[in-house]
Amino acid sequence: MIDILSTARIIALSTFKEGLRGRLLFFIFSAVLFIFLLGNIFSNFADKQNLELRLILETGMAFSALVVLGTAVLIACQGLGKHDDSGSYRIMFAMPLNRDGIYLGYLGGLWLTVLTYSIVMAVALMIVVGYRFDVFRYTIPLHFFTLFIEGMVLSTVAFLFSLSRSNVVSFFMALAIGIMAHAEGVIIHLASQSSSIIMERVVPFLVNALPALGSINVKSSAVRDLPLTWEATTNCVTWGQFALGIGHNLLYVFILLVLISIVRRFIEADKG
Amino acid sequence: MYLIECNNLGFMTPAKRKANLLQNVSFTLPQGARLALAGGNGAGKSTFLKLLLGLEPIGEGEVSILGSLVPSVKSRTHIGYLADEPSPFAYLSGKEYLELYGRLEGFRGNELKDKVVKALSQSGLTDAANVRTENYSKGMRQRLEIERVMLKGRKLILLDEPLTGLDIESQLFFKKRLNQLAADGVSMIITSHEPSILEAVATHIAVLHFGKLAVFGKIDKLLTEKGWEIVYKDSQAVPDKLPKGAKPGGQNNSFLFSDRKDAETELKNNMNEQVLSFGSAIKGIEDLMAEVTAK
Repeated sequence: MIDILSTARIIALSTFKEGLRGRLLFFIFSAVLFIFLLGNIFSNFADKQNLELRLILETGMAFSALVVLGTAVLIACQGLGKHDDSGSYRIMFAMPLNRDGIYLGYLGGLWLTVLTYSIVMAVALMIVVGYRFDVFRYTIPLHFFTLFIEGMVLSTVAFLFSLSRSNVVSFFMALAIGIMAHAEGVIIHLASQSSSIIMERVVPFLVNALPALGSINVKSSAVRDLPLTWEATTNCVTWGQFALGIGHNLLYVFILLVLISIVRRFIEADKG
Repeated sequence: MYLIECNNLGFMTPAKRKANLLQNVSFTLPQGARLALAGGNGAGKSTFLKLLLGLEPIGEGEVSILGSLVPSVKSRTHIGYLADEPSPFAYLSGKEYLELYGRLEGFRGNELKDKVVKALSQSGLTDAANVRTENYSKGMRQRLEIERVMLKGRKLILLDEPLTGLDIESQLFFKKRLNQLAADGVSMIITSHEPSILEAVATHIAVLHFGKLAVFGKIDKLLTEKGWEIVYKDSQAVPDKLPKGAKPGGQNNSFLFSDRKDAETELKNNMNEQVLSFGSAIKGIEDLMAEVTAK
C-alpha cells in the first residue's frame, strides 16, 4: 500500500490530465470566448454613443451575458447527472488506498486545472484586452492572481459543499459562493459613495483588477477614453458593471458546476 | 480462517423512505471458494458487494474478509473489484490506465512497465494499448478491467454483472480468464443474471430474495438436494416396476432417487439405451432459482 502523499500526487496528475484532455477546459473556453465576442460587439457599438447610453448598453450586454451564462449553467446541471453514473471512481475507492489521499489528490488536480486556466486566461486577456483596447497597465498579473486564488478557493469550497450529495443544494451553494466571491464589486460601489483620498487611489486599481471579465466591456467603452481617476471610477462603477459582475459570477458558477461534477463522482462513489 | 465471515449483516437506505436492502445475512465462505451471488433485481446483490468494499456503511452486524473487519484499508488489500459498468477513465489510453493503477498499487520503473506489458498481452489489447479507452468496445474495457484488478494479484475478486452487454466472443474470453484465475486459487464473488457464468465458475451459491439470504451452500450439494433423476426416452421406456429407492419424477417418463447409488444400480440393471438422461434432479442454477422463487 502506498502512502497518502503518493496517492494524492498520482491522482492529482491524473485529474489534471482529465482537465486538459476532457471537456473541462473546452467548456470554460467556450463560455469565455462567447463573452469576449459579445463584449466586442457591444463595446464597438457603445463607442459611438455618449456615456449614459454606453452604460445602458453595458447593462443590456450584461443581461445578455447573464442569459447566455444562465443557459450554460442549466446545461451543465443537466450534464451532471450523466457524469455521476461513472463507475471509475467507485473502482478507485475500492482500492486499498487511504481515502483521504484520494480526496487530497483530487483537490490538488482541481487546483492544477484552475492554475492552468488562470494562466491561459491571463494570456488571453493580455492579448484580447491589451491589443484590442490598448489597456495593458497592471491588470494582467492581477487578473491572473484573481482568477487563480478565487478559483482555488471556489473549487475547494465546491468540493466541501459537494459532500451534500444534492444537485440542488450544490447548485445554490455554488451560486451563493460565486456571488460572495464577487461581493467586492458591491463593496466598491458602496465605497465609491464616500470620498476619501485612499479610496481615490485604491478603487481605480481594484476596479481594473478584480472583475476580470466583467470589466472588459466597461474598460472598452466607458473607461477606455477616461483616465483612471476617482471621477471616472465612480461614473463607471454602475449598476451596469454590477450586472456584468453577476454575469461573471455565473461564469464562476458554471466552472464550479463542472468541477463539482467531477468531485461528486468521488463522493457518489464513496456513497456507492 | 474464513475468506468471508458475515454475521447478521444489514443495510438500510439512507433516504427518507427507508428500505431494508439487506437483512440478517449470515454465512461463512471458505478460502478458495467462488461464490455465485444470485437473486432478482433489487435483491441486494450489488449492495452486498458495496458493503464488502466499504462503499456503503454497514447498518447492522459485521463482515470480515480474511479476518479483517470491513470497512478498512486492510480488508480492501485482499479485494479486487470489477464494476457492473466497466468504466476506465475515458481520457486515458489502455496503457495509461494500467500505468495509473499500477502506480497506485505501488509499482515503479521497470517493474511497472513489465506489469503493464504483461497485462496488455493477457487482455489481448497490446495493439490497442495507445488508444483511448473511450474508443474501446465494452468487451475490451472489461478485459482491461480484469487485468487492472490482477496487476497486483488479489485473493478475492468481486464481479458485478461481468457479462452484461458482452458479445459471445468476449464472454468466452472472459470465462476462460476467470477459470484461469480460479485454477490459480483466486476466490470470487460473482453477481449475474447469466446462469452460464455462475455455473462455469462458482463453487458456492447464495441466493438473495428481497434482501434476505434465501439459500446458501455448495452448488453440488444444493443441486442434488432433491435427489437424482433418470429420464427415459419416452413413457413406454419407463420400467413397469418402480425401482428400489425411486419415486415418480416430475415428468411421466422419469424417476427420482434420493440416493445416487440406487439410481446407478437402476442404470446398470436396466437398458441404458432406454435412458435419455441421468443427473441431479435440479439441473442447474436456473432451476435452483426457480425452486427458491417458488418457495
